[in-house]
Amino acid sequence: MKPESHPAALSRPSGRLHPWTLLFELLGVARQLLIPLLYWVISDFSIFGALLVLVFGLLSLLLTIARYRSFRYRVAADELVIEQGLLRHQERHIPLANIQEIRLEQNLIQRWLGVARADIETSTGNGVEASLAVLAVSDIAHLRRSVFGVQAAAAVSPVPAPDAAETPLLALSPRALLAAGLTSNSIFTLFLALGALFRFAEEWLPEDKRRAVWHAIADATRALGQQSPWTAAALLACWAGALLLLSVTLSGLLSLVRFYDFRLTQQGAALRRTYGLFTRHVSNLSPARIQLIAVEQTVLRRLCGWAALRVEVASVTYERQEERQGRGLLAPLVRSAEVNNLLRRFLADDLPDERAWRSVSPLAVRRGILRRLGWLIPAAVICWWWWTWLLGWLVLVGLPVIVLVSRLDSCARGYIATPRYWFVRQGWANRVIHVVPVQNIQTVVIRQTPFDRRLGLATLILDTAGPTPVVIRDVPATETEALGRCLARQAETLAWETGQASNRLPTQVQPLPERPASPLHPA
Amino acid sequence: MPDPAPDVLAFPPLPPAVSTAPAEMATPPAAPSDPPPAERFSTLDPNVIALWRLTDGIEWSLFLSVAFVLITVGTLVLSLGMWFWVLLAGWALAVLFAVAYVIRYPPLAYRHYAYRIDNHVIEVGHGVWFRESRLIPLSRLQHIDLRQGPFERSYGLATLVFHTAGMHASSTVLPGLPAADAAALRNRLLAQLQGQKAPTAAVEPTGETTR
Repeated sequence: MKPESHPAALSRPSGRLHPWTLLFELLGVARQLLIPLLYWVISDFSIFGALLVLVFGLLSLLLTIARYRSFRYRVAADELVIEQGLLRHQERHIPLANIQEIRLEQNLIQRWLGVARADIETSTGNGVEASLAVLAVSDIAHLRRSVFGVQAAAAVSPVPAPDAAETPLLALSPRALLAAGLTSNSIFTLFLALGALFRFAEEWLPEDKRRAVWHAIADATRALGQQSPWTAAALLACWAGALLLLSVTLSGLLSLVRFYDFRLTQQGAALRRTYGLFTRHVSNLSPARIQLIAVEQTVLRRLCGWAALRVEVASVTYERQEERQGRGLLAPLVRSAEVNNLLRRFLADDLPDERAWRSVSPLAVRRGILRRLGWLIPAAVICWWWWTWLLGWLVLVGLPVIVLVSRLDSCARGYIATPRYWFVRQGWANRVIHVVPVQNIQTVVIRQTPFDRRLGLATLILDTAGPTPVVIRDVPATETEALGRCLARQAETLAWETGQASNRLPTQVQPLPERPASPLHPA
Repeated sequence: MPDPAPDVLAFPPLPPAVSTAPAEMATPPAAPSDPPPAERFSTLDPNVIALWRLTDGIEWSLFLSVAFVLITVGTLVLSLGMWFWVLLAGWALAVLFAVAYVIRYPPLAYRHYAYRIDNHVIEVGHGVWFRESRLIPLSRLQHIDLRQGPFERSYGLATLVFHTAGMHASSTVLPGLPAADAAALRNRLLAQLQGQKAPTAAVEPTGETTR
């Protein structure tokens, strides 16, 4: 990778896929041939079986080679052209300006061979627009440089050349990744693991074994029922603890595998993430695409002073769950104190002062209590039906808990409105701070239920092109209305300004100012 | 623990100074085309009450007749006997409710529907019990639909639907406009959008340019 000074002077990438494509395609063909092959083996290597394999194999082989030979790509003046198809010739022109991201994915074999799949994402929000599988890694780098180079040259703003040096923003050691996994709310991992186990049992365990397992579970439950309540409770607690431990360990390992050697770098305006132990992911993210940034802290992370940074991009439909979990994460784990340093890189403005948080109405506590009583009362009724003695306990314990949680919850909620960004905080246990650029707000919604109206409260919803709307509940109605109007106006003015002063793109990555203070998470 | 966690309670919330909230937000620098000061909300065309009565009436009568058929057939098939009268009484109550609803609700809904469109923001508010008001910055408009159903046409009314690139409140409906006004409004907004299309880089990520 030799650095070129002029993007225009770059030779435009063009050509075929890497020859190793044939290998991977052939692997796919082999998978398709599995059934004829099985038949051949089962039929004692009969002539017909052999013929079947030959015909299928030859056909697929020819098709594969033809597909490989007909596939071409090239970067023209302002578009990426992909030609493919033998009988039905297809030519796709993707305007370079629309290409948001060229993502690189590599599994173990591909890494060993030095090739990767390049997924091209555009701004239409339909996910992967085209997939080049597989290209040499250096070819992808070339493609990326020429695509984003043209974009940078077309932009009026003095965007640094895309082949500028990569500045590292964040690198995570395996220890930190393990910690990230351990402190993530791992109860879901447990369910995932149990689900996988269950499916495994369904598919691979023979019928009698499966029945034996069920019997064992049933026996254990029955044995539990015969114990005294205290023993039973202790046993249950032990089991739950063991499962939890297992789940925590699993999620630690998962995080280690998924994000192994996580590196966040900044290259020109784009952010680049590289991670993964077995399958290596490299993805570029243009900051203009970020709809909102979320600083997330689970309970454990808050106790340890850690946080995770997640971004949401414009409506992209993801294909795979695993990808989605990795994609949005800008930083799986950072120290709370460093969050601000990272955030400052994405925001055009300085971060607001910690004292600027505005709380929601004090009436929120009352509403929270009433809302949660809606759960307690049915629970109490059910308890009264079965075990009367539990009722007293439930109400005795439940009421103070509800009051406490409601208080904590309403204290946790808050917002800061600055002309360019809104900061919205919520969650009494798991804390999230959403940072919404005002210029990404599509619609401002103010809602009032009849209960809200009785207390003079309202809900403010900021809708962006990202998947989660930002909701601020229980704000005094007059305040909500004024805020909403002001916000909508600001959003419009900002868009107008951005167009006028085109030499300034607010969501562009800013150079890091030297400032020790950390208002959002004071050390 | 070297780095104590930021605690929620460590930062006592400021007293909620209701009136100062908007003042705290720095006022946006005035754009050259600043709107006339706070226009008043407009109401819908009063004809919309009759239209809603008609459509609601049709919906309710369809629903009630299906319910009636179900009750009679159900009684015959399941031989419910006396239960038929109970069900019929319920149905009669529903009819009474429907009549009251069709007569009383549309004027209420009409009174709570309001909109305001200035040079910057579209604001549409509605809802009798559950209120909602939507504010759309003009430059966020992706496209505008003008709808006119057969009943609307007979009343000379039309509906505007504003679409944004948002994920949850992406379309905002403004019904009950006089057809000519709706078309004029749409054309005005589109012209305004065309005039400032260049500045809309903010909505670029969802790109309607490629279609």
